[in-house]
Amino acid sequence: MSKINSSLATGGSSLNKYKMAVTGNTSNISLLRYEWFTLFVTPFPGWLGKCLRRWLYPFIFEKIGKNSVVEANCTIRQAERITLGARTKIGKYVTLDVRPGGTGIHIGDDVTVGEKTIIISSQDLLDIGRGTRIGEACRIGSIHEVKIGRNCTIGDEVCFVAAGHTYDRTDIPIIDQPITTRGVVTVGDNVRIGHNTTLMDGVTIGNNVEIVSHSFVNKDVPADTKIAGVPAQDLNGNPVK
Amino acid sequence: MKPNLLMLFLRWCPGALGMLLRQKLYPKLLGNCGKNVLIGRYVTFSNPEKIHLGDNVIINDLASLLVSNSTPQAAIVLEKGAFVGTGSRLTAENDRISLLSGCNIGSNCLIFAQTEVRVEENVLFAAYCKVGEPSLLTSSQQHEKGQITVIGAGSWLGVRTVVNEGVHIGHDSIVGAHSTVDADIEPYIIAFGQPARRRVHRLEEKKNPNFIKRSGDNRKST
Repeated sequence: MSKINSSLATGGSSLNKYKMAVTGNTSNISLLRYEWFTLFVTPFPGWLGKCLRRWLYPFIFEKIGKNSVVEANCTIRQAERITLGARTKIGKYVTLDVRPGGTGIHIGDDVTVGEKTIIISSQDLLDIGRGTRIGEACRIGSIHEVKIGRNCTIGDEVCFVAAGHTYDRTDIPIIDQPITTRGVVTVGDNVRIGHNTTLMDGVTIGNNVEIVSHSFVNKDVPADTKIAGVPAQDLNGNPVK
Repeated sequence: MKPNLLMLFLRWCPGALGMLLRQKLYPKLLGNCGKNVLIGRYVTFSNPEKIHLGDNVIINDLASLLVSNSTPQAAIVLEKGAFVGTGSRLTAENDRISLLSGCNIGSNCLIFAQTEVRVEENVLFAAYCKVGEPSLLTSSQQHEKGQITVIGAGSWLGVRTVVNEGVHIGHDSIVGAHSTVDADIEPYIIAFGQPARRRVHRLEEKKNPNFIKRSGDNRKST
């Protein structure tokens, strides 16, 4: 059974498990506050909804900068660990999820996050630098720290992989084997990441890099290069060193 | 009309209230629904009487389970403990989709059943996988051949894997990220590439862990 289902099926009341998942603690006050916001503030449509959120979200978020717009129906968990900069635009149905034990999500000024994108901080900080634009339906997962630089452009359906599984044993399914993660992901400034690319855990991307769409990046990329392919190589066909 | 209005409300209803209402009321609308089923917001069901969910199934937000009216075999069956990630789409176009117990389908995946798709126990799909891409055979040729797409028990499909219709992936095998699988894969094999021609047996890779790294280090991922 997957970790999610088995952790839900064993020990602890359903209510406590739900509280931990959405607020990171078992306080009833936190839960009531979360539910109030989720019922009345988050789904409110249209211009009125945006105003309501601009007025009320600063009470639950760690910090929200001026003129930030959060569209309706985002899934926001442990908002007290999430910082939004000034003039950010968070699209509809975006998930900003700080898991229990997660450090938090910092989103810089002038950042745009496309619709349906999922941003998860399971353990360490997830930091998105100012001016960065993130496309739609991306998945940015993190266990170790993920740091994205300034003025980057990230395309649609881009995946930042958080972790993999070991598969040493052949007697139990892979899904039951331990999770492994290679380390911190760092993306420099002015990086262009094309649509449908995948960045593995533990890679460092230098400044001014261009990653062509549909690539798979599993090694560090030095600054000022352009790479493409599966696995991503520089344009002379040499593997990235 | 009444069930549809109710479903529209349940689909939207946010928070713990929505989750509880869906848990209590969806069993009346679906073909079959087990205990402790958690269904997120904006989950779309089409022909819900042909959808069967086992105990402890979790369907995350924005997923869709669509069964078409075209044939009587079209149905979606999720056995106990199956998990469907955010935004994933299961479309039973002409035949059934079965996710056996303990499957974990990542976010934004697509399972399309022109012919039957069976995902066996404890399979792990990473994000953005696509299973059931149509083959070049006409639908009557496919029907004669009795095509079925099987992902064997305990397998792991890496990020953005594409699996063509009619392919059998053996149990406990691993498909590398961004691979396209257009031919059968035996059990215990690690396969990768576009198309997935590079193969190594898991037990050999254990003995010689440098093998994959020298071949370009296509690593698998969740």
